[in-house]
Amino acid sequence: MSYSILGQNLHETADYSKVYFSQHYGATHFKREEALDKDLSLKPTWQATMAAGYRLCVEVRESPFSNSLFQFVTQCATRGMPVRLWVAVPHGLAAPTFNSELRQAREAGVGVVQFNEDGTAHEFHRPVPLSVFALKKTDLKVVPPTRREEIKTAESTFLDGTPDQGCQSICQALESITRSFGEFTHSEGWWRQASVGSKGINFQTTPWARVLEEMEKRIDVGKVKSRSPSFSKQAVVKVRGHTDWRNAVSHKPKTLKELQQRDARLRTMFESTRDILIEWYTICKSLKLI
Amino acid sequence: MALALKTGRLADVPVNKIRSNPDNPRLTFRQGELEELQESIRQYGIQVPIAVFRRGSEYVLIDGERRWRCASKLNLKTVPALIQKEPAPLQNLLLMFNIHALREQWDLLTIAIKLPKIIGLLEKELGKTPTEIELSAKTGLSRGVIRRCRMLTDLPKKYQDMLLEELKKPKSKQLLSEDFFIEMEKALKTVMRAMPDVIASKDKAREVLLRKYKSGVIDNIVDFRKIAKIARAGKVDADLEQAQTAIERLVTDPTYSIKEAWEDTVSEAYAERDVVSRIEHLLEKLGEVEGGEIDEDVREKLEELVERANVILGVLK
Repeated sequence: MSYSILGQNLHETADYSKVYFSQHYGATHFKREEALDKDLSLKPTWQATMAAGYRLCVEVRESPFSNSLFQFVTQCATRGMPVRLWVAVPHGLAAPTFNSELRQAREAGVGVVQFNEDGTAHEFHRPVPLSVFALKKTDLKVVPPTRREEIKTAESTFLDGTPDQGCQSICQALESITRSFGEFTHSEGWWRQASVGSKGINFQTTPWARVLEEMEKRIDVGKVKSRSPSFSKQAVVKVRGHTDWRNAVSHKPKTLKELQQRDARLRTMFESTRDILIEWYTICKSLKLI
Repeated sequence: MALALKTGRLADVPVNKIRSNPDNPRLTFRQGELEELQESIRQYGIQVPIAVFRRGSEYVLIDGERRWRCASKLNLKTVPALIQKEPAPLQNLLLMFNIHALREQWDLLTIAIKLPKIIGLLEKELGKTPTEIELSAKTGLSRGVIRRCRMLTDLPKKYQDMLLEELKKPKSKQLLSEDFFIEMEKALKTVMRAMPDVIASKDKAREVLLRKYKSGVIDNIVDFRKIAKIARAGKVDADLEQAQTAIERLVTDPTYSIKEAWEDTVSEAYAERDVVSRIEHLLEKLGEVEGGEIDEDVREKLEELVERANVILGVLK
């Protein structure tokens, strides 16, 4: 393969990386040393299409990270570019800064793979799609220890390239905790009587939107507040804005632009759902529900 | 032929319209060096314009391929460039040599590979083969460099390819170098001149020496100079037959080192010659001084040295 920019000592690594990502990740339509976007400040050695709709970028370098790459990552993340960026390095060129650069690459969401002389590869870690990388990370200190696993799993699923499933996990957690809250407060007699003729509620099977609607109408805020001071009606109202999450995560994007827009939407959704969920942890903790 | 081109026009040239110059003797661009320059350009931009000439709707590089590659990598739209008139083929090559070979540490092999083309073009222009002095004046290379280049161009192609592959690696990872081949070739040349019957096949001898270097039996390329000295054993009155046997072993036995061959043959003879030569040099210097001019302290020191020498000679007797 001929490269017009890449130094000759890395041509073999670049050739191996093309074969590797094609065979192991099903990447197709490879382009060599072309700009991903006219305004991005780096032309990756390879770019290709991946089955999930993301754009694969492979930068072949002697070491895992650099300031140029960091600038590229920042540009992609702020534009919500649906890109998975890998750095491919050859074996045996370990610079003294290799380990620190490896850490920097991981922190920046960049995957790193090393190729041996026979073309076999070792993946140090995988990349995060840069469209979701700008996700504000969870401050686990404010999450009760028993719920940290739940949040962490949702967040890694999100960052692992399946933001729809990450959103689904976090929304399901919110739904589950608010249903439990409803059931408990109802059983404690902190709900006002239902209006005549209205249907009863099964807290496990009645649609979530209706459970919340009834909760907002009937819950006795004063009674709940006496046991859980952080509760307010606004907490219920906030959750009501998230009941159509199934709809939001179920639409499969068809184009790169749609994927970019969807990831941006899901990022906002994940962050807001998670923030509400953390508020609900506080509410439910006082009631010993978690 | 005037080498200098008319001063060109400075302009911002689209990066995607620039092509590398097929006559650029520089064949290897190591990624590490490119990345360093790339970081600099990312921060400070291109401070020194590249030089190009126009060919149709495109521009061909005269000077600045590394800057151009980095600019392209950084997705810059334009680069500052001095646009020159298209040079004639010989002028193009000579420009490259004068611009690059003098300014940057090029790999010698890449220069060597282009040298025959320059010689061919000069032959056409001069109507005769250029002398080493003419070649040096035109290319800006010293005569020593030209001779070293010729040693590399005289190498069989497989060794040139081997070396070219090696040069693609970062400097720190290169095992073979141009110097290795130059030193080996010089040694073999001397052996073949001084002892024409010892080396049956130069290529086989190269193979054995190369293997020894790779396996560490030869650990220093300067040791090749000792092979040449062994071949000239007659000059120091050492045993020629012994020297011949040692060289035969050196180019056939994969475990026999140059150091061993040196010790087995001419080591003492050269040491003796060295001592004698130093003493003669000292005496020559002393001979230039009038007896009365020698300082008392120096005289005492000399007398002490003579005494010590007598003791040594006495012991030796």
